[in-house]
Amino acid sequence: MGKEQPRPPRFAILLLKWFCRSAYHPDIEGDLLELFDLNVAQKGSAKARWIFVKEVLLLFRRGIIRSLTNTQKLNAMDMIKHTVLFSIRSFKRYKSSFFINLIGLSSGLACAFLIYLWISDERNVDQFHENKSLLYQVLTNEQSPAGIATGEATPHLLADALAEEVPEIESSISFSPTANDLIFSIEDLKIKAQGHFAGSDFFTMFSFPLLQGNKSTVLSDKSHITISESLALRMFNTTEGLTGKTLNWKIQGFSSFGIINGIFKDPPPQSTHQFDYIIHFEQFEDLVKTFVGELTWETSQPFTYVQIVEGTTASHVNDKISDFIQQKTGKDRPDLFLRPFADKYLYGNYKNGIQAGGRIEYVRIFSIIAIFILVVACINFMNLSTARASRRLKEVGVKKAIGAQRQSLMFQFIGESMILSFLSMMVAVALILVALPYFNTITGKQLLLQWDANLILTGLSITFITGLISGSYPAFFLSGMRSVEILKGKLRNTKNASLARKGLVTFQFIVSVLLIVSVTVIYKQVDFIQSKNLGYNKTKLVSFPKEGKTAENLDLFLEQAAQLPGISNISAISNNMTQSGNTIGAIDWAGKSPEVEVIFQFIALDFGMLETLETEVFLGRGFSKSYGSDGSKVIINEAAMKTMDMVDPIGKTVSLAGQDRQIIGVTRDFHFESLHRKVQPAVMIILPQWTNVLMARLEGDDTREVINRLSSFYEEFNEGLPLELSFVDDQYQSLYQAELQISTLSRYFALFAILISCLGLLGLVAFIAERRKKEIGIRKILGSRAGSIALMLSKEFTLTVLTSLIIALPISYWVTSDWLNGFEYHIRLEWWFFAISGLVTTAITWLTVGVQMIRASLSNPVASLRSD
Amino acid sequence: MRKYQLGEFEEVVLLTVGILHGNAYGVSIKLEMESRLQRSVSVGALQTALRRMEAKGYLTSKQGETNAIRGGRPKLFFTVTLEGKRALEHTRQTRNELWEALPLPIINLD
Repeated sequence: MGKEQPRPPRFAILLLKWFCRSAYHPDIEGDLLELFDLNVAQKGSAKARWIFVKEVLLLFRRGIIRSLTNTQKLNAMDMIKHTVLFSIRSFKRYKSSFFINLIGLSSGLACAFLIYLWISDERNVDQFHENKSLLYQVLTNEQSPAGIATGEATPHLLADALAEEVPEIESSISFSPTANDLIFSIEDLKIKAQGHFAGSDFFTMFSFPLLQGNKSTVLSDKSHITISESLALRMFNTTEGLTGKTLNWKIQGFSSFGIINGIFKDPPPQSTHQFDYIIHFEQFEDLVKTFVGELTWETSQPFTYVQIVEGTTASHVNDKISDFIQQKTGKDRPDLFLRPFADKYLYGNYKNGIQAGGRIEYVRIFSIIAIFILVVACINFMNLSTARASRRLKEVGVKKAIGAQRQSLMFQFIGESMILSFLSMMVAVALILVALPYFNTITGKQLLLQWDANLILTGLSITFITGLISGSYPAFFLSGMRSVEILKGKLRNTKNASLARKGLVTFQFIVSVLLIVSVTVIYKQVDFIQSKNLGYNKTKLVSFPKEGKTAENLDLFLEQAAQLPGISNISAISNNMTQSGNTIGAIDWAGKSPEVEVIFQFIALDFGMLETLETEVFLGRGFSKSYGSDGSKVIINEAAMKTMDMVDPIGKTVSLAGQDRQIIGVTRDFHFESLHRKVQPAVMIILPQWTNVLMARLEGDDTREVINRLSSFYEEFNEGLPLELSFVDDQYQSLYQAELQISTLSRYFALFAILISCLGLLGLVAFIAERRKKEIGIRKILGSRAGSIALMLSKEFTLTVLTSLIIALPISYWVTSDWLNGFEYHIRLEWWFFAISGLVTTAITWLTVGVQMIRASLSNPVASLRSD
Repeated sequence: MRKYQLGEFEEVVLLTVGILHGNAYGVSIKLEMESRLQRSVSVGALQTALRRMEAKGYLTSKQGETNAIRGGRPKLFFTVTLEGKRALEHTRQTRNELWEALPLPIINLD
């Protein structure tokens, strides 16, 4: 006899178990095993095995095989019913944790969903053009001492030359860079509108649908004008029968006329370019010619948009056009390259000629915030469920003893969190509907909850994932316990669970600290931008366009306006302080190295402008009429002085476009454009005919009164044209709209994240205090004071907060300094930003914990001890 | 009048359960049948018949004690019910009636 007991083949036993009805299985298997042993004794083990297999196979017949469908289906239905029932019962029983979970999850979901709406709207900007994959903007890379500067302004002659000479470019248009205010007049009607000038192929390249007109011919002639549906309604109350009407228009003293040749639908909000009219670009060239004379490769201004031929790639075209301007001019002019038009909005920033973010950074930041908030809310659920596990241990134990399998218990707990997360989603939808108008005001968008498949799918998947994540840990944790130990009471709350809980709470606090630091830094930076000394005084400074009669009789207007009470200074300048103005490359001075190509800002002024701006002239003097010859002089700024490397520039000469001008003064640097960019070197000359904007400094307290006076004078002077006045302050604000929005939004979202995590903490503390009720009671009886008990209880949480501070502060330093580096002028990170964040977090924790702790420690020990 | 339908195999199984009287479980039934009738009986056929007759009410089953020999599996003991006894009697009676109706020449055929 062999030492080992012969065994029947394992697969046959498993096979039998698999197909046999579970009620019949035990004794049939028993019979087979008994027979096997008999057969081994009589016929040998090999034969016995063979017989065993044969018998099993012969058992595979009707009456023995279990049914596959019926019972299981019923089982699943019952399980779902059971889960729903138990969830509702546990919600009812533990109301406080149910509400904490509901509030936390629903506000978390609402935040995440709002952010999702915002992000998807951001990502949709400029994506609606049918041939968007072929549309590109031509950008320039210009070498300068400070590195490569990337710009959008291209030579006037570029668009036509590209279309003619580069076969890979199907069509190419010039596009006026800023939306121009212009006055249309027909008969007695005068209407102001904002729009652009564009080349003939504008409507074939971009998908702005036409209500009237054919897109290939609508702008084919220089005289053609297209207007938007809403402008047509404003002017004529109809969109029908307007084709062929002649419109006069006027812009900054330049007037012309055109024929309406088409009407387009108003551009959708997802378009970066918003316009009420498109006029043929040659009209714009005529306008520019009145300033600069003939158009050359040296005069830069418009944007150039191109559509490449299908089948070619942008990089291929880039290789061809990179030195296009150099070939034309023979000079070391900027390199050209293409950027997808669809990337214009989100990927706007270039650093040293390389794409460096833009609004996409904010999209990324908010995506991360949304995920953080959701995770924080999920953690609440996990923590409360595992903490309360001890209360449900008996349930789990009994279920397991009866025969519940691990999967079905997991199903139950995940089901419970799913139910909760779907309930929360419903609440969240209600919250979103309430919050959306406010959210739209802050973000300046027109977001709507549109119940399309995409939105519903996203909503459902967010909800589903939330439910899954928040239910997974309790499910694994609770279902993995052993029923015998649970029922014998050996298992209270395992160390692992409380460690995991601590870890999760630490994570929540890391997120909170990170958000607090970021919000502080963003707030401080935005504040810094608002209050930074810009080199000019922006309070009580108003600006309005120079147009109509004002432009024709500028001197007379300025003279009379200056007499108005409440106006201390008024003058004209070439561009608003927040816009990038004209640049000039044709500049020369003694000692300039011939290879260096430098671009200066070129500012045209009228007398008195520097005084109106209150810009300090710290060397030399300002412009003054009393000298009589100041029209041929020049004033430079500090940056220009440094660029030209002059120590005492007064009296030296600079050559501007071949004209020698004497420097009479140097101003402090003042900022125009955004603080993202360094102050550029600038030259200022008296050239009233080049000015576009009027600026006035108001004095006295009642600015409204002064504005009323100014506007009635303006209307009188301009024969009924209304004054469109804006404060430079506000213009400046709108320059930083993105930052302001981010600042406000991030504050709200940070607040929510912190609130949600505090809510979770509150629930946790309440639970712990309740569990240690007896301990507290006994300690009190033995003479502990309320204070020392509260201290004992809060020790654990203080430790958690400290850990999270140690982890979070370095991360937040890294994140915020990275953000600040995007600004040319920014605040320094002070140590107290971090100290305050730490203190605030600790204080919030103590407040949350403290109230509960004190309540627990003050409770009457009799009440907690009497029951046993 | 109720009908007591019994197949040949069912009848034999039922009778064997009766013969074993109190010690009738899968293995013993199978061995008894094999030794008495000199034919091999598969567990599958036997179990199917047992379960079917249990469902018809001719048999009842009772779980016995677990036994180490059987891999810890219990024996399931079967006993014939009153209904089962009637079914056997009915079958026997119908056989007898048929026998009596058989004409003599056929009986003396060999």
